Amino acid sequence: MWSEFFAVLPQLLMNGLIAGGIYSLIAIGYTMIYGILRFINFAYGEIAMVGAYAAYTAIVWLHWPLWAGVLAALAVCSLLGVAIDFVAYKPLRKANRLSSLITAIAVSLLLQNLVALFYGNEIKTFREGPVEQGMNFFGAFITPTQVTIIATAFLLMAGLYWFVAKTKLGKAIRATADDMELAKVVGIDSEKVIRTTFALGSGLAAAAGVLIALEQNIEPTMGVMPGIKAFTAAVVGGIGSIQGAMLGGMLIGLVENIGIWFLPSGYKDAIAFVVLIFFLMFKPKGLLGGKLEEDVRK
Amino acid sequence: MSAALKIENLHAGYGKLPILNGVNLSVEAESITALIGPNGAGKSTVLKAVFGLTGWRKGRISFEGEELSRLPTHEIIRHGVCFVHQGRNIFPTLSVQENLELGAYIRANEASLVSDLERVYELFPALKKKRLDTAKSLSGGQQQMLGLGRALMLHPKMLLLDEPSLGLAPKILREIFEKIGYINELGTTILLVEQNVQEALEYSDKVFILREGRVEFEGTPKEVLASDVLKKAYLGR
Repeated sequence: MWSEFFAVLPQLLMNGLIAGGIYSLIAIGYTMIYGILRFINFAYGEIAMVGAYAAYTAIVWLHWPLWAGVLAALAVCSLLGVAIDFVAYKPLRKANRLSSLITAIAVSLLLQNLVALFYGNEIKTFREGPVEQGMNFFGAFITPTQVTIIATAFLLMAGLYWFVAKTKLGKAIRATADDMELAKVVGIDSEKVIRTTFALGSGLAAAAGVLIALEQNIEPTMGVMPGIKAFTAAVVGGIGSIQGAMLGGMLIGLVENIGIWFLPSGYKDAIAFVVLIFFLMFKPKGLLGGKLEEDVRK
Repeated sequence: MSAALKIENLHAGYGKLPILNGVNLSVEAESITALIGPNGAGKSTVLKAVFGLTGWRKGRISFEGEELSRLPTHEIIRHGVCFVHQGRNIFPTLSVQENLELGAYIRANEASLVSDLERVYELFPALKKKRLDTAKSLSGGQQQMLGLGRALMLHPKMLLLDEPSLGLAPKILREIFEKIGYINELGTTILLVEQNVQEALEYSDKVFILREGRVEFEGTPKEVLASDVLKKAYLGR
C-alpha cells in the first residue's frame, strides 16, 4: 500500500495545491472581514459562484477572451460585495453580530436563487476544445489549465499581501482590524476601509469561482462547498490573520486530497470538517493565532 | 490669551443614563489644562465626547471658533486636535514605525513623513531602536510614548491626553510628564485627564475639577491647593 501511495503522492500534492489555492482565495475574504467586523460573511462562496457566471456571460454570451472574462468577474463581484454590505450588513453595524451572520446566510440563499432564476439550474461550462494533455511534473500530471489555476492563485495572494503590507490603504485596513475606534481617531474613515475590504475579498472570491469553472461545471450551488471549506480554512489558519487564511487553505486542500487516498471517495468533503473539529478542540486560535480566542473570552 | 477649545453645556453618555450633565469648560491656547476628579466623575467621557466616541452628545464643542460637535470622529483630527486614549492607544499588531506613520494618515503629502518620524524618534529615542518591532512588544511606558509620538506626527495644535500616567512606574511617569511639558513649550495646547492629582497640579496652568458630570471648580493649581475643594470632591462633604 505505501509504495503505491508514494508513487501517487506527487499527484495528490498537486491536486491539493490546486484545491488549496482556491480555498485560500476565498478564505482571505472571510478572515479580513472577520478581522474588522467580527462576523463571518458566509456569502463569499456564492460570490465565487456569481464570479463564475459573470465570466460565463462574458465569454460564452459576449464572446470576450478568457482574460477579459476574468476581469469582468472581478469587477462585477467587487461591486457586488460592496453593494451587499451597503444593503444587508451596514444597517446592522451596531446590532448583535449574530444578526449579521444570519443575514449572510440569507444573502447566500438569495444569490443562489437569483442566479438559478436568471440562468436556470442546469449545469453549464465555458471550457471548450479537446481534453488537454497533461505534462509530467516530478511524477504528477498537470494540465496547462491547472498551471494557470495555481499561478493565478499565487499571484493574486502575493498581490494582496503586498497591498496590505505596503500601501497606505492596506495599513489602514490592518489598523482598523487592530482597533477601529483608534483608527477613527487618527482620521481613518472606517466605512471606506470596510468597503475596500469587501471589494478585495469579493474580487478574490470571484477569481476563485472562475478558477473552479476552468476545470468543473458551473451551477447555482457550486459555491456552497468551497465556501464552507474556505471558512474552515480561515478558522484553521487563525481567523483574522491573512497569512493564516492562505496557509489554512493550502492545508485543507492538501489534507483533503491526500486523505482521500486512504478513504472511500464519498468521505472527501468530511475530511475538512474533521480537521476543523480537531482545531476547535485542540488549537482554537488556529495555526497563526487569530482573533477567535480573544473574542470567545469577551 | 484666548480660548482654543470651548465646551458649553455638554451632555453625553453611552446608554440612556447621562454621564455628563452640562459641562462648561474652556482651554486657553498654549496652556496645559488638567481635568481631575474622583472615579466615575466623567473625566474621560469629556475627551471622548469631543471626538464623538460617546453613544450620544448634546451641547457645543468648538475649537478655534469651529464647531466640532457635529463632525464624525475621523474628521476631528483634520482641525488639528489629536487624542491619546487611556491604556490602549496603539495598533498592537502593527510595527512601531507603522503606528507613527498612521499618525500622519490624513496628510496627503508624504514628503515630510521622514523628518516628522525623525523628530518623534529624537523625542523618544527608545522608539527608534524598536521601530521594526510590533507595538504590542513594547513596555507600558514605551506604548504610552508611542501613543504620544503618533499624536505628534501631525504637529497638532491641541492634544487631548487621557490619563497618560495610567499604570506607569513613578520614574517613567515623570519622564512622560516632562515630555508633555516640552511638547507644550513648543506651542501645543494640552488638555489632560489625570487620576494622579499631584502630578496634574504640578504641571498644569489651570485645573478643572469634575464631579458627577459637572465642573465643580475651576482655577489655578495654587487656588486648588488653597481651598478645601479637593477634599470635598474626593471625600464628599
